[in-house]
Amino acid sequence: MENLGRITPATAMVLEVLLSVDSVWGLQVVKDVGKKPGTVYPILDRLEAAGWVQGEWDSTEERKGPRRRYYRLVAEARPLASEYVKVQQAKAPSPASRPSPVMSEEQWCGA
Amino acid sequence: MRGVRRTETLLAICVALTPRYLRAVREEQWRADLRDGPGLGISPSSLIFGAICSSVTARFHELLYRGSMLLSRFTKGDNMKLALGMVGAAAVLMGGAIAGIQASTNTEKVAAPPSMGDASHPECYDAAKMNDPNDFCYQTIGPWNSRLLSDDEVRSVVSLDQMISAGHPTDQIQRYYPEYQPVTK
Repeated sequence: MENLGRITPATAMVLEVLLSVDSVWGLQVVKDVGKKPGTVYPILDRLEAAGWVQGEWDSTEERKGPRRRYYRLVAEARPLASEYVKVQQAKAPSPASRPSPVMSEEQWCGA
Repeated sequence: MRGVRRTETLLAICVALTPRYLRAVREEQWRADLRDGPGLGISPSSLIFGAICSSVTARFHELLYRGSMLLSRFTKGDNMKLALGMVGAAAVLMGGAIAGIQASTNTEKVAAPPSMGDASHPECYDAAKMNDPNDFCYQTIGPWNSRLLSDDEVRSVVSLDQMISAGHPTDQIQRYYPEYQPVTK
């Protein structure tokens, strides 16, 4: 697991969503964070490349066609991620306006 | 229909931009997101823009990684032969360039047309004196030069005293300084 270097507020928000669930669909992260996919996709890619997040395919067979990509924060990254989130929340204490991660029907909580 | 085609084209561009090892994963992911995104209220254009950002970022990081790997090969000395080879090639190229410049400079000297000298300054364009390092030149006040100077230019460069001390014959000095009269002892 590599050091992430500078953590942006958007990265902290993504980490917050990932911390709140076991595994989450990439687009659900986009919706929960309230940012554009153009912001969230590269963050997820960066987290995955750094070994913080593990990407995995949707295992449900109800949906036909291309599979959804789900993201899981690896166990060893969780303490550091929650630390980053706390630091970011202390810097900008306005979480009330931000949508919180929602466990919807669409959300997959595999294994 | 046109929108679907445009989306497909943009998606194909995103896939092409993505590093090879990630293409299959990203393409399937983006296709699933384009299919299910509108259900979450996320527009396809926004998703395509996200895919473009993602692919460009991935490509950038891949290039950065390749660059750093190449650099580390040199700095760690893993491939000293390659490094020495490149240094050698650079030295050969530099040597060739220097030799070329020198050759072209010499060519210019040799190429000074003897016919030019006939017109005004035979003392500067005498082919027999061409390689004589002691030959006097009005341009450099020293060795041979290939520039053809006018009489005024010669006067502006070489004073009467300099001409006398250079030991030029009286008629030549008088050509530029007609008032000159040699002192007879």
